[in-house]
Amino acid sequence: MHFSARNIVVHRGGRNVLDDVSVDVWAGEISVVTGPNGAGKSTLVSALAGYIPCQRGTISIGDHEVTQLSTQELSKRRAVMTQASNVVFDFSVSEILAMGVPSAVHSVENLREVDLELAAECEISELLNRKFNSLSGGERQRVQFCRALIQIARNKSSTEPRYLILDEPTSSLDLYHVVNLTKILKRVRAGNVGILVVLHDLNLTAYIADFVFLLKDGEVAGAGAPSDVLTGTLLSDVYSTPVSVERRDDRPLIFSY
Amino acid sequence: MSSRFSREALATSSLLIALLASVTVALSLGALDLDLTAVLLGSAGGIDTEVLSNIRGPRVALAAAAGAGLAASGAVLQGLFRNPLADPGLIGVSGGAAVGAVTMIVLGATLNLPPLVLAYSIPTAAILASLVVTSVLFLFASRHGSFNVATVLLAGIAINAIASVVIGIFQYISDDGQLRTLTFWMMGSFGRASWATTIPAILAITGAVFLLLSQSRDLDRLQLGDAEAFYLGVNVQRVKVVIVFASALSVGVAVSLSGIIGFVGLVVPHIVRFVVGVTHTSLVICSALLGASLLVMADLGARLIMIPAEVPVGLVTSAIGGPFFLWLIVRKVPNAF
Repeated sequence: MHFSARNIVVHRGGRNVLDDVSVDVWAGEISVVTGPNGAGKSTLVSALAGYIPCQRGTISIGDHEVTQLSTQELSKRRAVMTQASNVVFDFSVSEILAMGVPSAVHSVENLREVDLELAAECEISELLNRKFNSLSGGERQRVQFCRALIQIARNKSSTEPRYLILDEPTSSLDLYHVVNLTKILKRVRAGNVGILVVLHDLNLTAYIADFVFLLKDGEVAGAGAPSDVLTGTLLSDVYSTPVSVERRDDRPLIFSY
Repeated sequence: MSSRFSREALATSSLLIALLASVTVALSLGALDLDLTAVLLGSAGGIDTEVLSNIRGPRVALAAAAGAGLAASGAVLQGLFRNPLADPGLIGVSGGAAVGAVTMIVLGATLNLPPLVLAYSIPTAAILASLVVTSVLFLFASRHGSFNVATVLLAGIAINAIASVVIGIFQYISDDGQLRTLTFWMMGSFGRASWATTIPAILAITGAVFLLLSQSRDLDRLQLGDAEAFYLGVNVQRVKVVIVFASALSVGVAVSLSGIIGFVGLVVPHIVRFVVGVTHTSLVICSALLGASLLVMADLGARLIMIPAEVPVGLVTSAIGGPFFLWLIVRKVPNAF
């Protein structure tokens, strides 16, 4: 049982943004997708999550093809945190979090203890009554991350694994909150959840990934364990800049300047 | 979280009381002041009873229904377009409805329809026309994937210009009696209310408001973005279709019976957001209630300012709404353009 994309092709604006890409996310593992700007990472997220159609290939969650699941059924199996952080109207943080609660009961009054514990874990308890728009970029990111966690937590299933897809969740976070987020991901991973994270930070990738997909120009340039994929030769080629990799504690340590 | 709940309940009940109070005042005052208790107890004169039940009653009821419909539509259109400046009047939905109504008024005469059919064909034409306008706006606004604050307003300017051309042409070819009707349409008035049209209007607008309420939670999620709402389990396309349809229904009905009444859909949701909050369930309920009271009071003002003559109620709402709109542009969206 896993979440997978098989040989998908996504065509946009006259070119293949994703060309014959295969990605697997297993419950209990953290898969990291990384690669240069414009490599197709965010497109991969949208396609995996079922928002944009693939011209070829199949995406499946467990036994189901994504295209055969309703929007509602998909939302019970996977949660997504995108890079979007703009909300026109002045929603409070708790109202944003409540949107992660399944639709029949979504409203602030329905935030339960479990949700508030997640908020505490994401260190946003103090922000609950603030307006989302008044928050800094990093604070907004923590709120959106927490909302995705609530969606996962509220759709707990005894048997079926659930999946968390995060598109650059650390881009605005300070060091402390990056470390906190990795702790949370490792805890969530243990609860029958498969995680796919898009990251730019290669050292963070080396630290948290069980499996790495390195994308370049819409194709998979490397896939495997961090120490197999994050090598000086491959990274120098993919990023078109000299990259050297050392090893510490049996993990790759990446230097680019 | 309970303080929040009571805040919404408090706002709703106060607005309900305000609506009842404004309806009572509006029924009592006018060119002829009425003693409501006497009329209800049957001790008042025949004229008083006649004025209350056949003139002022339907008029106040229509004002309340139109106010509720326009304000609730404004609230959800602002949410749908993620644009705090969307108002059925400003973005051309009301203008489109007026074109539909006016076309039927001028051309309906040539169709030799029975009067009863004609009376209902005008609202039908207005609803269809506002449906077309909302759909066109929607396609325009979503052409490049994400909504742009300016696009909807600019498209609204264009649609209003086209609407005024069409209405101008009809003014040119219409006869004297039709011309008076058209002028009434362009400035808005509840002076032609009768129970025969007001009761169906109340039912249609109430139905539309409940339809909008059924989408309000999904509309909240839509504020995060189309993709984000989809990831949360929202059937984005269905929500948008229902909102476009229900708002076109209530604006079309309101405009076909009372003409173009601007700014209610802009001013009311802003006040409600400021006082009650931005989640769409309470926003739609409170906007409908406040819109109803405000239009009942605006119509009372229109009736009282120049007794025995009447000012078109659209002038009253625009006189208040225009400056409010300017203030909003300065305060709310400094970088929108």
